[in-house]
Formats: sequence, structure tokens, C-alpha cells
Amino acid sequence: MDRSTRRELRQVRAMLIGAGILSGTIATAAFRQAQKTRFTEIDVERINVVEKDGKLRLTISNAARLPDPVIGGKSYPLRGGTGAGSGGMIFFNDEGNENGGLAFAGHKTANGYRANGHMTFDQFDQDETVSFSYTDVDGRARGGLTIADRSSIPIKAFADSAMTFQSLPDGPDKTRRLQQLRDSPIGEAGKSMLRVFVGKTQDRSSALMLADPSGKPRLRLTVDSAGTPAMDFLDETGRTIRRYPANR
Amino acid sequence: MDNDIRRELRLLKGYAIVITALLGTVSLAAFRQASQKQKFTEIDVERINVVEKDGKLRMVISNRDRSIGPIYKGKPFGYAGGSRPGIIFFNDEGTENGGLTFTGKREADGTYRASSGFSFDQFNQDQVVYLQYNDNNGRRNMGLTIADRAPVDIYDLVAERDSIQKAIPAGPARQAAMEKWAAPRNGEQLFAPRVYVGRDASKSAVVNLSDRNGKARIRLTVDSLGTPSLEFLDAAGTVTSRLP
Repeated sequence: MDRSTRRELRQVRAMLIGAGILSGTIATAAFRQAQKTRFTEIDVERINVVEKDGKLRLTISNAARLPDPVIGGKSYPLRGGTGAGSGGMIFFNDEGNENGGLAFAGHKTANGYRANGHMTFDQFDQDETVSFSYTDVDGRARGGLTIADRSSIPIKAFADSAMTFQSLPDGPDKTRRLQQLRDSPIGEAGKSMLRVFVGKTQDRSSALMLADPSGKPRLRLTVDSAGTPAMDFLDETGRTIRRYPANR
Repeated sequence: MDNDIRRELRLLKGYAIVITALLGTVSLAAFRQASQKQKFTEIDVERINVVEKDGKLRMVISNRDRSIGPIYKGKPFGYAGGSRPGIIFFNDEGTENGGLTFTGKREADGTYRASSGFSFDQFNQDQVVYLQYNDNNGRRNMGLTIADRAPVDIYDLVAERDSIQKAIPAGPARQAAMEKWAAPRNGEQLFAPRVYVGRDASKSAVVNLSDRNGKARIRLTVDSLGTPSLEFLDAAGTVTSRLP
């Protein structure tokens, strides 16, 4: 082999070795990336924080990619078409079932606006028990902390039944079927018994309300929209049995 | 050398040049991408560390296994990680100052435990504003608590406690040391709940306003039977006045 060919061969070899090392480095970096990567900033439509086995623990997402509720390991297409349009976070427990969230939305409507922000914790295998929220329709706003008792019956049976007519258009038929479900034995699982509310209400009162286990208000402190302060004790029928200050 | 080999060599050389150039471009692009803003539609991740430019933690979002234990000025203390799935917050000094965590699991024997909490910590201390749901197989409480904490660094407090438990065997001597450890510092209780609004484990809906020792002095209650009351209490816990 002549000298020029030999040189040429050496060059080719060097380049290929260089390319080999480079691709090796890139491949290693790519694999390492799966371990830990550093970004300064990312844009993302949804992040799934998952357990090692792939079970969801937390999603952070825009409104379009907000996941449907997962109850008893099953996904229920309940959020679609509600027009809720919230983005935010959905929390999941160790079994991969939804157990709360932090979601927020707001948009102009034909006549005004709708806005809301919620942070909620669910009772185990049930629905919201703690809710820190703001809901507002055209300035009729309610904001505060709500604590509710939920049934000890898992909500899955209720959700399964509700799914059978979920796809029906809103109207008297759907309302009737929902009422039938609420009145049935598993209707208990869908109930929320409000126990505590601290906040402002749609009628522009500020209030503290404590209720009995069936959700009936029994003690209420209010400053109404006219600025009148009062404390009311109520019986189980909703009648005020004592009001302070008494001289009014 | 014959022409065949020479042609072959030229081809190989051309190939090597193209490959090397391509790889160079790809790696350059990769490095540039890492230092700029990236866009994804959806990603799966076990843990995200939101860090300051110097690498100091500001927030950790993670699954259970990779969740972080307590950190004081960048140093782990107290207990190991792995028990707090959710989000943990850190202050400007890299000390934990709050979090949002959530768990729930049914055991093999059919019982379950679940808890969710959102908390803000007093500076260099523990939680003083927190919204929680705790459930031990149906015995549950949920509510908002506002508390006072003594102005003692949590790091020192935990170190003191750990050294007592390490140095003194279980018994009256250790108990005495622990009582001394738990006593007020400069007149401040280590922990004193001041406000509670919620539903307690006895199924009462309650509001407690408490004194600096953590003793309820005004108590609004609707108990599990539905009975409403407003009580004023003295420092010993005796009801001094009651409505209605």
C-alpha cells in the first residue's frame, strides 16, 4: 500500500473512532438523562408524577389534559363536557385513586364571567371532605373553608350508577333519574353533609356556620350585607331558637 | 494501489465526514436544548426538584419513594425521606417551610389510613398554619389549625431530643429529661394551637380560640348529637359561661 493510501486510511480510522466515541457519549448522556436531568425552564401541557410502578400520584396539567376522576382503580369520564375547564393539580392516594386537587379557572361569558379556585381533600374512597374554595358567577361570589362529613359507604357504587345516565342531555329525565339514585339505598354514598363553613356567601354576608351530622346549620355567626352582626342557635328544623344580641 | 481500493477509501472518508458532522450537530443541539426552554406535551416523572440557580432546593414534587425528608439549611435531619408524597416547599435558605402531601391506603386486614395536609411552617420551625384531613379507619378529623411555636430552631430541638433518647435508656430518668425538653422556652410553649376550625374525632363541628398555652378559652360546638353551644373557659379548662 502506498503512503497516501495509508494516510488516508489513518484519517478515516481516526474519524470513525471519533464518531464512535461521540455517539457513545451521547448514548450515555441519553441514558443518564432518564435518571436526572436539569432544565432551566420547561413548557408542558401535563406532568404525571408517578410511582415506580407507573401508578399516578399527582398530575399537573392544563384544562384540556386534566385527568378524569379515578375511583376504585377505574377512570370515570365525568369531567368531559361539564364546561368546568379547570387546570391545575389532581392528587392520588397510594392506591392510585383520586384523593383531592388544586384547580383553578376563569373566563368571560356572554354576560359577565365565571371564575373559581379550589383546593380539596377527599375522604378515603369517597369525595370532598375539606374544601378551600372560591366560586364566582358575575360577581356573585362565595369563598371560604368548608368541612363536610361523607358517607362511610365508598362512592364507587354511586358513581357506577350515575354513569348509566351521565351521557343523557341535561333535562327533566336526567334530573329525575339522579333524584331516584339519591333516594335509593346507595344514594347515601353520594351525600355531602356540610359541617363547617367559614367565609363569605353569595348574599354578601360573612359567616361562620356549624352544622349537625345531618348537615343542618345549628350555630351561625353572621355579619350580613347591611353590616348587622348576629349569633343564632337553631333547632333541627332550621328555626332560630336563640339570637344574640337579644335586644333587636 | 488499484483504483477500486482508492474509490472505496474515498467513499469511506466521505461517509466518515458526514457522520462526524451530523453527530457534532446533534450534540451541539442537545447541549443547547438543555440550557434553554423546552416544550413537552406530556411527561412522566418520579420527582421534580425546583431549584434556585445555585442548586438550592425551592420545591420538591415527588412520588412516595423519592419524597424528601426534613431539610434544614440544605442538610437532612430528623427522619429519612420516602413517606411524604406530594410537594415540599423550601425557603430562601434551603430550609423546609411547608408542603402539600396526600396519602391513603387500605391494608391487608381491611383497615385503612388516609391523610392530606397543606401547611406553612414558622421560620426555622414546624407547621403553624395547616389544613388537614386525618383518617384512621373511619376515626377522622379535618380542619384548619393556626398555632404558635416557640422561637427555637427545629434543628437544635430535634438534635436535643435525639441525644436524650440516645444517651438515657428508657425509664424515669429519660422521661424526666423529655419533660424538661418539652417544657416552655422563654415562657413560650413548644407548640400551642391558637385557632382550630373543623370537625374533630368526636364528630363535633367546632371552633376553638385558645390562649398562649394552647388551652381553649372560647369554644363553639355543634356536637355529634346536634347540640349547639358557645362556651367561655378559664385557664384550667372550666366552663365559666355558656350560651344559649
